[in-house]
Amino acid sequence: MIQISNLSFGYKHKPLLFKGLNLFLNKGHIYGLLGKNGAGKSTLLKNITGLAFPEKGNCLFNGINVANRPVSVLEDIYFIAEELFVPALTPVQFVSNTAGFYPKFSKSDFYHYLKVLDVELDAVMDKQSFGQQKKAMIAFGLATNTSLLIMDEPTNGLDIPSKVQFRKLIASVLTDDRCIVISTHQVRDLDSLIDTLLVLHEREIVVNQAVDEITEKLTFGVFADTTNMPVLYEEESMRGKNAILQNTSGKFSKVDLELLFNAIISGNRSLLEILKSSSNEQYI
Amino acid sequence: MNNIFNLGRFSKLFIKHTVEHYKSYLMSLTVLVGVMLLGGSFITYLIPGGFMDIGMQSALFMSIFLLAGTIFTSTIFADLGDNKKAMGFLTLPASHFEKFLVAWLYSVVIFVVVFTGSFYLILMFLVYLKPIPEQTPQLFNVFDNVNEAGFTMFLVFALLQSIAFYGAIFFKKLHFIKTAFAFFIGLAILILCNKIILGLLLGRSVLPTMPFGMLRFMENSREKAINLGRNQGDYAMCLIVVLVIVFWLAAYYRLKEKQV
Repeated sequence: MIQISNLSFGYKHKPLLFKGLNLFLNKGHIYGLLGKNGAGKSTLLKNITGLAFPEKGNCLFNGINVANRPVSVLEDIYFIAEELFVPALTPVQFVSNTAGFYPKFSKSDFYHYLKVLDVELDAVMDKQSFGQQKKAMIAFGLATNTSLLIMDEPTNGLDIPSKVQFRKLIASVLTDDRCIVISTHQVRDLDSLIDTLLVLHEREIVVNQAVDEITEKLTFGVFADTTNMPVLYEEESMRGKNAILQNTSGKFSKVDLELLFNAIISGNRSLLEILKSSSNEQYI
Repeated sequence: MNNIFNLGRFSKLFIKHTVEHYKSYLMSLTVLVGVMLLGGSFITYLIPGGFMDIGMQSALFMSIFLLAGTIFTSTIFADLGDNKKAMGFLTLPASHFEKFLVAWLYSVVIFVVVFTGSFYLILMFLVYLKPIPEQTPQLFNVFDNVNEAGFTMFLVFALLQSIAFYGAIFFKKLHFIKTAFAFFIGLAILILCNKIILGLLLGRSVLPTMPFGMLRFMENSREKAINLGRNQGDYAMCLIVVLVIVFWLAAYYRLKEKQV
């Protein structure tokens, strides 16, 4: 669905954010995009939606260059930015003059999502709190039924019940024809939701792997003592040591995204090499 | 699917733009009407012997028309100066041409119609309320002189509008001030270049003038001017038309290349 080839991008008078970046995103997945502040997550999403143009390389959506922003691409992509603008309209008014641009938009879905997320139909959006505004736009984005839905920090500003509802909704809207990309810092909000992990670090995608595949290769756990254990990365915690080990037993553990992310950005080469190796190599 | 223009999609975009901006447009119109009414009343009632004769009417029309037109035009792409709004605008599934056309229609066609209508309403109110003594109240007709001064006025409006239109999309903030600043700097450079080039061509010192306008120089301590002939003047008009189209095209391509 999304094919990024040899992409280089940098803002004016600043060093390149990406150099020769390659990435393929497929339908039927929820991708979680992680990266440090300033790593370029939002910029990468802007490149994918045609809001920023690469210096080199290109970004194709179903074979079409997104930088030209053709209508056929725009009506099949919806981008919910971290800082979003809502007009001085109620959700009902907004949908009546904007939904028509999206051929697969479902009004019944929209009203259902608004209800689930507890957003008032007749409240003027720009007079609402940031969280309510965000939920209204999330409901709209989900109801567009576009093949590609991109969200930048969608849980920022959402209260705890809304985060729960958000997770449920996202899980319910994923189909084989849809691809969802979520960029976030709040990994704990989404660790049960994403099925593929993308980590952007030092101008490139260092991890692009299904969560299931990661659990095949790595074991996550809390241990009282890790002496004599083949630890790849560990952090002290109140309960003991949070550690990542190579999975040699074939048993699955729950991925601790925060720990994994910290391990990756700390430059843990052996962990990255294990992730890059194929599953068969694991048990040899 | 037509990725350039689709009438249904364009209509939706026009309606969306209107619904989301009509409040600010109505407020701007109210301010404009208020300024014209106050200014007109001041001239008519507070200045002794002040009357709205035809000359005064056309001078007021032209000055307010050009000023209000360029100010309004320079706000037409204000959304693109705010990243949050720009993202919604640029990712909305409508073509660049349709987005350009909505802005162009508002800043040219709708502005001209609404401004002219408002101006005449206020003018009628002022002229008929205090007519010139012993004269039948008269209103100047902006379309009477379409082939003469009226045409020139609309051409000058088109030129300034196209420059303001480009400035509206080129600059992110303070669109009107920055465009006006760039315009005057550009004008000064053009006049200076014109003076240098004409001086080199003629092998003598010439006085500063606008390019493709008249030639002025000093001879025997007297200033002499050579104007363009009538047909040559038409070429200069054609040049303005070309400039207008160039600025509109430049604005269109700037919109296509806009990044956030």
